[in-house]
Order: sequence, then structure tokens, then C-alpha cells
Amino acid sequence: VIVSRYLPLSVAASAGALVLVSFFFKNSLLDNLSGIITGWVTLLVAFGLFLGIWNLVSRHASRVRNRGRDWPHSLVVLAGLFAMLALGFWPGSAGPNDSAVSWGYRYVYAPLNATVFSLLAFFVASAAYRTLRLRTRESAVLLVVGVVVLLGQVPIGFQIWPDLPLLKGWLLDVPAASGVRGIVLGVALGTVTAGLRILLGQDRPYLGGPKL
Amino acid sequence: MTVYCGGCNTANRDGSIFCNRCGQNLAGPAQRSCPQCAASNLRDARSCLRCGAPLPLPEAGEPGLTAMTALEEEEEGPLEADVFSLADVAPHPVDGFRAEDGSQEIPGAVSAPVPVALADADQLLQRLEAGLGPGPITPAMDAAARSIPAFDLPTDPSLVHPVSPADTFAAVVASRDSLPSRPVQTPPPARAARFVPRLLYVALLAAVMAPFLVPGDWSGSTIPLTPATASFFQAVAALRPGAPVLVAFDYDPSTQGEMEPQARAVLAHLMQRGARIAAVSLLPAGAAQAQLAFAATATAQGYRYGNDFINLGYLAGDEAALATLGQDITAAFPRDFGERLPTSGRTVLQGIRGVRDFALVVVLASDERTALAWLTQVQARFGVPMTAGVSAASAAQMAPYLQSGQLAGLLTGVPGAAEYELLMNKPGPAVRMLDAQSLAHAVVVVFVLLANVGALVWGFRRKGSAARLAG
Repeated sequence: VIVSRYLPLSVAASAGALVLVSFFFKNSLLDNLSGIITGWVTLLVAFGLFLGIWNLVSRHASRVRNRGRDWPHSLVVLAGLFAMLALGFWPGSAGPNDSAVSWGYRYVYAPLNATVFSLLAFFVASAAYRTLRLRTRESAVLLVVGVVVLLGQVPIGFQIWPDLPLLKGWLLDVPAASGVRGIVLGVALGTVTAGLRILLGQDRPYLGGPKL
Repeated sequence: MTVYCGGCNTANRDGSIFCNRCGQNLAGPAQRSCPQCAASNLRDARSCLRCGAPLPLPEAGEPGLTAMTALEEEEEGPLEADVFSLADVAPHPVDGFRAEDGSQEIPGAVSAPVPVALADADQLLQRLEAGLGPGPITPAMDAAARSIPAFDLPTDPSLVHPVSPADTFAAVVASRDSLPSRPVQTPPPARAARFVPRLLYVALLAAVMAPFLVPGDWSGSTIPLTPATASFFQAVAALRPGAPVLVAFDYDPSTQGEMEPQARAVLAHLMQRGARIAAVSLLPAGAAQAQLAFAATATAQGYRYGNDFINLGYLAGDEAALATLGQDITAAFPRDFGERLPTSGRTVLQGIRGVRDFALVVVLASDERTALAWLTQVQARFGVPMTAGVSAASAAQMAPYLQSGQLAGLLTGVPGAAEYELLMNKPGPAVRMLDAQSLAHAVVVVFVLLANVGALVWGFRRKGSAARLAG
């Protein structure tokens, strides 16, 4: 029990407390220790990337091998992954800044990614058309605010009514910002609570469960 | 339990607020649910559109109950006199009844012993008003009609003839000339729901392409300058030559269209001021985006890699990793991204140890989460001046930090980039992109307004029709 539960608990609490204290006090020793711990985070995230690649390859390779559903798509995923890895790790390659890798990024990955995201414009337009309907008093408010922000954000709104961008700015700076402040404060309080619970051992997500 | 639309009789899932087919409000005050089968009916309806069961009268004072309707009820008496129970003749559910949505659910009117009014004129007229025809005559209903003794039927010779009452009913309904001359209205949403979105997509595509196909001053040089953009510009303009600036490229190709105009405008201004620029990214694709932005601006300004600017690359670890920038930046980035050479001793990084040594931090983040990470882990902790460029969708979330002074300036989306280009007296791609965005917004607003006007007009017509039906 001591090794499996209390040792991880004491390590997590000590590391968390050290990073927390170094945030509020300027001390070279604390800064160095905190820097070592946060440096481990970078290593762990990098290791997580390897795990992600391993998981991706194993799942899609299994689907291709078993001729599972949409297995040609999995084949394309694996081909793209290994093609980019080969270009980057090939002897003599300049790594991520190699001209072949840059070509693949610039003329294959970037256009495909941007194309998929561009479809969002049509979804948003369709959603605005269906949602901004005058059905109740609340929907009337939503309709007016939506139209004001849509037009006030762009020059045509200024051409229609020069004060429309000012009205849009007020909506964003006063009512919307007030709501954001409330959300941010709530999230901050929740974060403090969650942090204290982890530091005090009330929550132990790293042990696979909330409590002993 | 399925909820049936009172307008088109489409079966909708339990809890539906609007009809999936015609968009009619299923829960609004203009509807009344049948106590037997739960179908939605018009408020003034006296019998259920679907099962024919009599509906309880609206109480006095309730909206939708006209004086004429109440008077008629008093004169005509209760409707129960014309009703008999289907349970007497059809004790078992009728198989094979398929709802319009393809489900196999058996309606309550057929599966349960409920009273059915065969000759309810209101039911017939409501269905005709909705353009639905007389409605299905199930075998059980037909059998029930056949079992009625002849003396209970109207003294019409045709009904004592061996012809089925169901056939007679259908024949009467099919004879339009014998019906009152009331206007038959077809619900427009069924057609509009298919056609209008397609028209919206075509109009949106045309609006986006128009400024690029027909170059010109579409905005009429009327791009209003916002204080947040002006503050950003002043923060960069106040830099002394050679001042070190850290630029975070936290966006990927999905938001490149919105973020790269910002990056190009800001980099061009920084290079005009002679600032030393170091680029980092919290996203794996951000380093490549920085390369693209530098390639588009550095040559024109005579900037040399390693001496005047450097791309440090991707920093894994997200928010937690930002704390490492406060210690030793060359330790966090042992080699740069552009040349894969050691960062220690590079000319552009001379005199810089941690993030505190930068005169300004510029965060170009497509999402507010990353921008907030920089604010909380770098600006709040090390007190370094910071400006940010974010997508338009993140503008509201960043407003409190601009108001508090934690951000010295803020660019939002393409409008922010266009304003920056105009402040530099160099209108570029962002201004043209803003023309396209402006027209696209106008198209969406026009469609939204037309849809609301159409819905209001249709609502008035429908209310008038319901009032005439009740009267």
C-alpha cells in the first residue's frame, strides 16, 4: 500500500506544491527545481506523441489486415504517415525543414486541412439561417444581436449605419465581456478547488480513481 | 411516445418542439394535444386530426377561443353524441400500419380502444386545409363502419347499398365541388426547407468569390479602426530598433486563412521597426506556419535568418511547458527549426536568457485557450508586455484581458488584419479578404431577414385560416 498508493501521492503532492510555490516566490533554487519538473512535462508529452503514433499505426494496420470497414481509408492514413516520416528521416534529409517535407506540408496537408475547415462557413451560414428566427422574446433578442454583430463586424455594416460597429463593440465589450468574466471566475475557482483536492490527496486521477 | 404534427401529420420523436418536416411548433400555445393519441391539433379544433377523438374545449378566456366557437358549442351540444367506441368492434391492434417516417409504431387510435368519430367535418376540413387528403382508413375503421346497424346510419340510399362506407367517404372527399369553397394552403416550409439552404450556399459562394473575380474597392475604404487594433499598432511602433520580440505562431492550416494575414502584417511592421524576432509554437504545425510567414516577409525587408530572426520551433507540453521559457530559452530549444543548428550563441538571441528579456511577446493564436495559456503562464508570471491576434470567434473571450491591461493590443480575425494593413498604409490580402467576408455576412443577414418575414406572413395567413375554420 505504501509503494502503490502513498508514495505516488507524496510525489504528486510535493511536485505540485513546489511548482505552486515557485509561481509566487522568486527564488533561484525554487525556479531551478520547478524548471526540472516542468521539463519532465515536455518529455512526457513527447513520449505521448510516440504512443499516439503507435496506437494509430496498430489500429489502422489491423483494419487493413482484416479488411475491416473503410479499410482503404486506413491504408491512405498509413501511407501518408510513413511517406512523411520517410521524407523527414531519410539520410541527408534536413528533417522537418527539408524541402520535400515542406512541399508535402504546403501543397498537400495545408490545402486539405484548410478545405475541410472552409466547409464550416456553409455550416455556420446554414445554422444562422435556421436558428435566428423570431419565435419568442428571447429569440428576438438573439436575432437582433446576431444581425448587429454580423453586420458590425464588416465594412458593409459601417456603410449601412456608421454607428453599427460602435454598437457591435459595446455588445462585445459590455454584455459579452461580463458573461466571459463570470465564466472565467467560475472556472478559476473550480481550478483552484480541483488543484487543492489533488494536492491534498482527495482526488487521485493518476492512481486510476478518485479516492483510496 | 411519438408526437404527431398538427400541420402535416408527420410522426416526430417524443419531446420534439418543432416538426421535422414542416417546422411547425409542436409545443406552442397554438397547439392542443389529443388526450387519446397525443397528436397535436390546432387550438380551435374540436376533434383530433389523427384519431378523430373529441378534444376538450378551451376554457373561457384562453387565447384562441373565439366567441363564435363558444356560441356554436352551446347551440350544437356536446360532440359525444356522434361517437362510438372502436373497442366494441376492434379489440385487437391492426397490423401493418406504417407511420410517415417509416417507423412501425402502431398509433394509439388503432391499437387502443378509443372513441372514433367517423364523420367529423372538422377533422376532414383540417386535413384538407393542410393539403393532406382525407387520411388513412384502416381495415378496423372500415369494419367498425360496416358493423353499424343500418338504422343508425343517415337515411341515404347509397349507404344501405352494399358499397363500403370507407369507399363512400373517400368518394365524397375526392369530389372537391361538393366541399365548401375554402382556400387550400400548402405548407411552404416543406418546399422551402429543401430549396432555400441550397440557394443560400450558392449565394454565399458567389459572395465570397466576387471580390476576387471582380477586383475593386468593394469596401469603399470604409473599414472602421477599432481601439484594440490601434493599441496593438502603437505597442509595435514604440519598439526601439533591435528590440527582441517573441512571436508565438499558435495556429495551423485550418485557420491559416484568418491568421496568416495577421502574421504577415505584424511581421512586416516588426521588421520595419528593426526588431529581432524569435518564433515559437505550442502546436506541432505552428513551426511550419512560421516558416511560411517569414518566407513571405523576410526577403522583402532584408532580414537574414539567424541574425535578424529565428524559428525556434515546436514546444511540447502546452501550458506547463511555457514555464520553461522563464528559465533558459536555449535550454528549452537546443536547436532551431529552420537550420537545425544549436541556438546557443546565435546573433539574434544575444542578451536573451528567459522570456523576461523580450521587449514584447506577440501571441498569434487561433483559439482562446492557447492565448489564455500565454496570458496566465507568461504575462501574469513574468510581467512581459503582450499583444495578441486571435480568430474572430475568440474575440469575446479575450475582451476582459484587453480591458484589464494584460493585453496591450488585440487583433481579431480578418478585420483586425485589414485594419493593421491600412494603419501601415499598405492594403494587402486582408483588405480583399474582408471584402469577401463583408459580402458573405450581408448574404447571411438577407437570408435570415427574409426567412423571418416569410415566417411572419405565413403565420398571419395560418392564423386567419384557423379563425375562419373556427368561425
